[in-house]
Amino acid sequence: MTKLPQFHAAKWDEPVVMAMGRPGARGQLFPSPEPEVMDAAGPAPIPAAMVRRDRPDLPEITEFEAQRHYLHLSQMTLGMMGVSLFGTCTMKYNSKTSEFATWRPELAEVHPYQHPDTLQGVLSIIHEFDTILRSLSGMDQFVFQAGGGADAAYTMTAVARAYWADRGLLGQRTEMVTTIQAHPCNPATAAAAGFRVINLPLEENGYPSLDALKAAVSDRTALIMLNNPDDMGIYNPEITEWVKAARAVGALCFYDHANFNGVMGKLSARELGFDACMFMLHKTFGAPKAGGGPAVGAYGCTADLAPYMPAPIVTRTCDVYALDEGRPKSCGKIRELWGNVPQVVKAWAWARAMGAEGIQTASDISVVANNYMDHRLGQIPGLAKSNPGNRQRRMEMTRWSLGPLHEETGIGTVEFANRMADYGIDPWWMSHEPWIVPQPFTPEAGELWSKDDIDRWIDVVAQIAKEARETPDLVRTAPHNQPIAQVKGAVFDDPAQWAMTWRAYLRKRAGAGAGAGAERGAA
Amino acid sequence: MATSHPSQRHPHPRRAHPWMANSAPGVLEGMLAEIGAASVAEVFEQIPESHFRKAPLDLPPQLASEMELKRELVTRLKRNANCEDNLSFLGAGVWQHHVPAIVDEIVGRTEFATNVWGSYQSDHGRNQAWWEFQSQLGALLNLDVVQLPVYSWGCAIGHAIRMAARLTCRAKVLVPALSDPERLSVIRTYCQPAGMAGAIEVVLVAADPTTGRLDLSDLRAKLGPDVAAVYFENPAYLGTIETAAADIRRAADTLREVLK
Ligand SMILES: Cc1ncc(COP(=O)(O)O)c(C=O)c1O
Repeated sequence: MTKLPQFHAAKWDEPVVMAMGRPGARGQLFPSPEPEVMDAAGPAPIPAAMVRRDRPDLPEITEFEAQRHYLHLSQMTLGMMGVSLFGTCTMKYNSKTSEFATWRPELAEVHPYQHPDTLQGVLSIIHEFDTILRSLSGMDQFVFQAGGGADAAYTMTAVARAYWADRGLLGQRTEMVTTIQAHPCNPATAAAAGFRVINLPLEENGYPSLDALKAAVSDRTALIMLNNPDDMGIYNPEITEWVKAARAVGALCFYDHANFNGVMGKLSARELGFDACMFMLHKTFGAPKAGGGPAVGAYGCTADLAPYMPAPIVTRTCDVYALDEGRPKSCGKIRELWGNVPQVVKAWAWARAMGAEGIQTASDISVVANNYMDHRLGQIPGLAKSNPGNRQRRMEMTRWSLGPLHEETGIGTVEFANRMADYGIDPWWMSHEPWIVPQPFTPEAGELWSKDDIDRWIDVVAQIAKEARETPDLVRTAPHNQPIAQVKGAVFDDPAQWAMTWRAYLRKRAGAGAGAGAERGAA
Repeated sequence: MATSHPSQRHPHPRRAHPWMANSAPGVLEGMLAEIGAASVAEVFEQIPESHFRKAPLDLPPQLASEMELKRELVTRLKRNANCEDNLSFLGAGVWQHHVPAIVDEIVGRTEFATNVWGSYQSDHGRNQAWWEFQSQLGALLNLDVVQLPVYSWGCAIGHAIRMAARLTCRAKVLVPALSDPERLSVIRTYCQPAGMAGAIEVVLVAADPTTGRLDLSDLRAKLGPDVAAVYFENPAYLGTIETAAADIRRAADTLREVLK
């Protein structure tokens, strides 16, 4: 066993920024416009009907106070600076070299409507990255407009609509077929795009049977959307038969390649028969997503589908890069403009820094490391692997269950997650819905973490399992070493107890207590 | 399984990679020994042999050293002309802003700028920063409910329109004819093509050619009990101020009655 980490998070006992400062204090001053501008704009540039009468109730603090407050917040954020084996999200090193490069004026201060001749640098990066993804997937064209993995799935549904509309069959091809083990964004985006969703249940091997798929697809199927391997770490070995069955009825086949890390350089979506796929650049390709984005879902497809992609596409002719907006069959925009370009640049930098050799090594490491982790987790009493009937080695992550330990001690996956934070370890990912095993958790080692990091993580899990048996209240009441106490989920059912803004908080608190009238009047 | 397995066609790395701790010599072999696997190929046993890719990877040369990577990044990016060296009045949804230096410091903090999502137990600071962001927008907008940003301006409109359609059980939205074409295209994507079960019809409201504002008579003519929402912007797409916002609101309000 490695030495268990001694950890305590920073805790700055200060109010939220909305309650800070003093009237009239300023963190930024703005120069007044030049006299010529003032003259041209006139005394009242905003017409009276639209002028705001009240002043926004914003914090009035100095520049230093703003800096200090937000640095305190960053210090109260673990942000994977311990060990995070957060499955389904593939934790990577996010290179500062590429981060800082994207802050340079040559990228941060360019405009997408500049003439492409003045943007050859960034266009060459986007184009080269497109060719890198083509090689990794076998597809013919990529586009980076989608703002995340789910948005790339949505891109697929929009492309499918345009494809079927072009054939006059949109009224007939109304269904999307997937499995309950696909990421929820697949059925959700298909439904948002207007398709009826058919969700296949899993069978004993951990995936639906080929017969179930064959029964579900027909001349009404517009497309199928699949990920493989799935979050259990199980690879559906019948995937090529699935694709054949779908293609036999004319349906399009989309590969959600979010779980690409373990198969990078090993599988080609195209060779498996898929028409299109997506990669998450903020996951597999080393771009940070900073919690909630900006992110990029790279969408790629065959030449047959390429005319239906959202525009613009970056093209290259005789070493000159250009933007192709004139695509008459295009499905239309998924988002405005080109996508989150700084993230594309970081992903390109990741792929260049890794190279073919590094990418292959990374997938080797991530699958070997996950199997090493499985091996060690299997020795902790009370933990159970999903699909015990499948005795083959798992891919880059494995769905585990705390079911037996929970039955024995009453301590489950949420309590574990709370307690992990006390050791400076990011709480684990549990599972997407539906929970297929009781008390699930899903670790993924990836290629970033050292064997020592992985050992430390497992030792913490073993320690919490021990605590669950010996000092369960310690676990039940965790976290203890974090800036906040345990979040009680039940309050989210009662709108009187939560607020999404300081305004709402003041109003609800005033409504609940004395002096309600006065405060409400002020708000 | 032999080492000629398709998962093993690539050469072994000659040197450890700075971004992969377990690429140091011997580590992988150590883990394989502990799990009782004879080779890396063995851990890929779920994948049928015929599924492994046949086309070799064809990627540009590796830039494993930070020095090479930085040189390539900077060389390429310098081929862009930028709006710091050149005066630019390009806008249409992307405007040059002054960004306070401490913003760069804060958003660059590695605790924030990683690919972790951020559990509430461990990342309280991130969650508080988000909540404060919502609160400050709430103060600017005088709104009680503000969420974290969605993908883009057009996507936010798309979500709002689909919500309005669900709330009202109506399938038509009025949008200014003088709209950013990119945004309008995103709106159409969200509204689905005509003929689909969930399609929402996008009807364009004419602009007053002299002021750029919405043509109120055209608006009134198109407003009917089948309209789920009216969308307009301030400032409008061409930079004018829509002074009749209250009138537009009142016109739309008359339709709310129908809902009750
Ligand atoms: C398999 C899979 N598909 C799609 C997504 C959605 O990606 P995003 O969160 O970028 O929208 C995820 C997210 O982790 C995923 O694991």
